[in-house]
Amino acid sequence: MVKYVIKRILLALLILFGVSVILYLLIRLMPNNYFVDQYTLTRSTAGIPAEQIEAELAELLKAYGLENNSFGGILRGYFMWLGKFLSGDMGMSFKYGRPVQDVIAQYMWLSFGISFVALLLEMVIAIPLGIKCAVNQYGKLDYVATVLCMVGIAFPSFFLGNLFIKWFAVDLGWFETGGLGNGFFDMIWHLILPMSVMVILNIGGLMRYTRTNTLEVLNADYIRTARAKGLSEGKVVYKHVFRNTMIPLVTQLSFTLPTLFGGAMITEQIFALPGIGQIAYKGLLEGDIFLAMGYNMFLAVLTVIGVLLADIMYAVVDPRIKLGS
Amino acid sequence: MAANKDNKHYISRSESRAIARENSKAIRFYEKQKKRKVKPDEYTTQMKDDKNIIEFEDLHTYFFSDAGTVKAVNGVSFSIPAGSTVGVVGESGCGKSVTSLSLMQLVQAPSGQIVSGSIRFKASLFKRDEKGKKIPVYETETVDGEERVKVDEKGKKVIKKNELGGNVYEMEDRVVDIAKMPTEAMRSIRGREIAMIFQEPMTSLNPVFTIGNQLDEVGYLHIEGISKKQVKAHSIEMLKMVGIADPEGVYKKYPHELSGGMRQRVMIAIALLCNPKLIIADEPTTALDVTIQAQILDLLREIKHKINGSIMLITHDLGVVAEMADYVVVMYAGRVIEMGTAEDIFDHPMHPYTIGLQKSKPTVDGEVDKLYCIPGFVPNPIDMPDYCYFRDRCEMCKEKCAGAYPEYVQVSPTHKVACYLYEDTKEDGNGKD
Repeated sequence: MVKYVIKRILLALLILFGVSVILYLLIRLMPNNYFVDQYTLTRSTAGIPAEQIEAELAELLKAYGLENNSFGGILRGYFMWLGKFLSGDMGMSFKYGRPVQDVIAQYMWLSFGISFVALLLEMVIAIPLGIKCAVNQYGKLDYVATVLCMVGIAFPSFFLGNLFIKWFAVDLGWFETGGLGNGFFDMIWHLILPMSVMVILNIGGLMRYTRTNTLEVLNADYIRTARAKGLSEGKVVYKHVFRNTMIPLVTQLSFTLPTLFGGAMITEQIFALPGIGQIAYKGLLEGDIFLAMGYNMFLAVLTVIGVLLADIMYAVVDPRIKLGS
Repeated sequence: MAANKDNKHYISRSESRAIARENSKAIRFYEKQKKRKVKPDEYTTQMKDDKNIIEFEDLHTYFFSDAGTVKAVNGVSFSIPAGSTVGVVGESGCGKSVTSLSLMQLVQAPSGQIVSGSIRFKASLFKRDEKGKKIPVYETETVDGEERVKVDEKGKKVIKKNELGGNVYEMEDRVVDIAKMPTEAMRSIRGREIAMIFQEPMTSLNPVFTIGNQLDEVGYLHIEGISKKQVKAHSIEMLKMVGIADPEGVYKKYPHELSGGMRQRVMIAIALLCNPKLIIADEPTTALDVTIQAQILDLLREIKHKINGSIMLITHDLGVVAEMADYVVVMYAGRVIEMGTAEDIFDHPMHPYTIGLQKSKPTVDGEVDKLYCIPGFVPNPIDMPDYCYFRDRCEMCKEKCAGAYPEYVQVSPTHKVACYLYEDTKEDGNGKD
């Protein structure tokens, strides 16, 4: 087990290396660069001639390894970035004027809080509902829940978000249109709308997934055995069925780790929440090279950990799976 | 339109909608029947013959499918005498398994339902007071020549314990009609009075629980008041009884760590846990290889003596039936076509189908190029003909066979056959010639 995990971590490092190469290449090929744009703008409004600005820029960019956009230049820049990254320095965010790791650490927790509560709500609602629907297949509850879930899956997040703002914030005035407000309870009040949007959007998939898995298990031979023993229907469903439904479910949930910390880009944007998703989105749009690089690497690390976690959890919930053999 | 008429299986849209409507109506009715709360008197009946422990009478179990109603069991009547082994034989899809599942009320719901008929079972149930609670039997002691209920330090009455460590309750013998029983009441019969061994040992055990857990579960459920230690000891005892060499080790193992034969032994151990009166073995050896088959059959025979119960053995292997069964029931297309003692069926088969089955059995002596095969196919279960179901495949068919489905002819005191060929034979025994 330990050997397996070590092997997987070493493999993950290799994957992350590949990911970082591709990311760096792509980000460097973006046409805009926040630093260049802003520097040129401020210096030229100060009345400095263009040649002088360019000379200054070349000098400054060299310090970051960004001066040359030829292949060799990008490669050199990459290794400069990698060297710093390995020593724990993810570079400077030009837009926010602070180190990238500080920016991520500051905004990550709000996103995590929202996503975590939303995920908990999703699980608490979707999993029991999915099981109930499967047990009463083609019943009234099953049809109603299925239709509602399909509606939830079909809505794009920007549409539902704006719809909620229009209904509950503008027309009815129950909630605020966005932002965080002052104080803890005010913040929770502000977060109700974005959280409901996230829950409604994701609940459908999880509920359908649970339902399908439960149905599959309900038809298994060992469930008939459990009934033949004389167990009550509740015991059959919540012991024998649920334990088997859990196997794919736990794996599925382990994959949500990156979304948990990575923020919901569009929902945060619509509700003007200063979460990591929105911050990274703005940075990316304006060409903040190191922030974009740092954020994407952050997601890549989380994804790799999520996959590893899924494999380990799989072995935990299913005794037939042995890791490493 | 012409094409529709040619194709018998074509269902038009309106027909399909009508079927769906009828099905959901029927399913709702039968599901409600199973969930209803009734007094035990409502499903209490009388046995026709007191020697039997199970009597099936005119049992109908249907599947309400989208293509129409499938009459999987269509008027089955036979009985299982106490202490005997009854073999039910027939080809795949003839309703053997559905008959046995009906007996356990385990037919795949909601589409499969027991529609009519009765399954009488001589059960010993817990006696219950007005509130529906079990009545415990208390330990007694004699103080100053006077017998009275024993009381512990806290002043609570001490409940009598049986040899396994479970509470003793007052029991009553009651003949119940399983076809009319609600599921909730059926639960105390399942696993305790009637146990079942399934065809597929590979998939019949829950893969995520240990063998011990799956055995103990039954103990906790049916032996109330038993302690953890006693349950475990009893489970290990059962594993030992079914011939598992390392019962303590197997107790801790998961199903995937055992072979097919071992798993079938575990299934038998689960079935034996509460000393059932009847064990239903639904093709217990089909998925096993030949040497293991023989071992499992030996084991079944052995335990039948130990628990002094009956076995309902479902199989399509005539060799297994010949070896095991006292009585044989031959089924075809959801009906019993012939029944009698093993001797009757094997030495004097009467129904053309039984004769065909015997002919198609491979023999050790004598060389044959090709095994005999009954011509034709089983009729479509959705619209069964109203004449004898075997007529279209029968080589001895008479003019009369075009008429209504044949009644049973009693050819000897133990031997019954549903065929027009024996209409004139009387019970005086000349039918055996």
